[in-house]
Amino acid sequence: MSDERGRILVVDDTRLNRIIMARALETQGHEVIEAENGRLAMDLLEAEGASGIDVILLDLEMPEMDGYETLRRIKASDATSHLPVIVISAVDELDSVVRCIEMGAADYLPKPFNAAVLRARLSTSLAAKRLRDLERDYLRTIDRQRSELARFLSPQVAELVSSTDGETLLAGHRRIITAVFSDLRGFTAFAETAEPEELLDMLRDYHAEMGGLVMEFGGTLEHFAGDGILVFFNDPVAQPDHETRAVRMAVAMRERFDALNVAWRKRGYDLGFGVGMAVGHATLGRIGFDGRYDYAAIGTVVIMASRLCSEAHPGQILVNQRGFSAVEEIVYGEPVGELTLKGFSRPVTAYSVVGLVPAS
Amino acid sequence: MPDAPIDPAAIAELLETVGGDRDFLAELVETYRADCPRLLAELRAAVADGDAPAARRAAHTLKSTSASMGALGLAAQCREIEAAAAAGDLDGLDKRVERAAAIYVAVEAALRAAVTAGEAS
Repeated sequence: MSDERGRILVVDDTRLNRIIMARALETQGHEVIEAENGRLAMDLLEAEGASGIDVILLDLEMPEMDGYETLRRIKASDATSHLPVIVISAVDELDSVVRCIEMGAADYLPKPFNAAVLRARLSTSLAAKRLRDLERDYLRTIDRQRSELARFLSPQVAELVSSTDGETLLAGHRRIITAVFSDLRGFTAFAETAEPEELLDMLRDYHAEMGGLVMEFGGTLEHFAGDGILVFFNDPVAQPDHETRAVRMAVAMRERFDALNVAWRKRGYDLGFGVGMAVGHATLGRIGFDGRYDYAAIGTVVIMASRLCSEAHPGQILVNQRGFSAVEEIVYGEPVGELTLKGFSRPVTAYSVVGLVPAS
Repeated sequence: MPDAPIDPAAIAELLETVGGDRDFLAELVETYRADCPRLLAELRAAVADGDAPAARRAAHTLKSTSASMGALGLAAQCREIEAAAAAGDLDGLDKRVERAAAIYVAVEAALRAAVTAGEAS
């Protein structure tokens, strides 16, 4: 209770009443600001900023601007409408009290003042105000965290963390996804010889360009690992067209790489771009430990995308059978036969995506 | 209407409201005694001039202040004056004002007595 101290704006045209009220409030530990009519109170709220005031004690009968008009204005303005207003009213003015409560007043204080009643009414209004302030602070924090989170996580995952069914999805679930893994041929050799600044500059450009495409096609970026990029589709947000989104992104990435590579070649970099894409079941959810969690896709589909990427020649996009069946109407492709992939006991049938069928 | 010029319970409550500070209560009484004659004079003049809005304002402040000081009879008298002035009806209001002034004399004496009694105890 002792924490419930506030800055109280007392609006009363009678000097003696203001003096009594101010002393009563100060006795109870509050800070008091006085205004002798509604107009001055509104000026003060504007100048001082409503954030400096916790509760308004408002007399009704005042010259210049009376309590009703003052109350109306306080409640009409976004900056002040959240402030609790306690109307000061004589016992014979109960009709006015009803009218004020209907207008948004939080409570009323009968005249002449009684210390215990004043304490109780203020305590309630201050608690309500504190709760509102707290709520506002929390909302701001959540907003800030969400926008900050969205820069670390993929936007879909950031959204998921803050959503109501997020916890269930984070806990783990099975789903068919399209996984796309891409990396650069020749990157390891380049990384060994390049100056650190040069390497980081190059990666920054590469990530910016590729990251933009991931966003554009609505992919969930699982991670960047140096030159490697793992993106999946159809999770956490369901995407009925996840296979076609994925293949379109892969083709767009290859084109973007070619554009970047024009400048890179001039600098003497010898790099190539390869992609592996696979459709299949994965387990998705939170992995890690209390200090650091990632949202990840786990399953053979991810490993297959990665292995197909390793098999791809520079400029090649390799897709597994299931993935290719889903996109064959929109792409030109050719079979590359059965590939023996590390970790897969049986050979894997794969296709190479040559290009997109132009939209008719 | 209470017979006593000031309600002892109201004064006790006022004292409690200001944290039991008797010196402060004495200051309040002084403020009240400084304000009231001026307000009564304003009220008299307004009624004499037929200035209803001015009469209403003075009666309102006098009512409000008196109620806070536990002068309930005076507050009631002022409320009636205020209501009449608000209705623009100043007829015979001078008599009411004089009645209020007479009550004030008793209130003023009672308040001084209350403060002195407090100091003695």
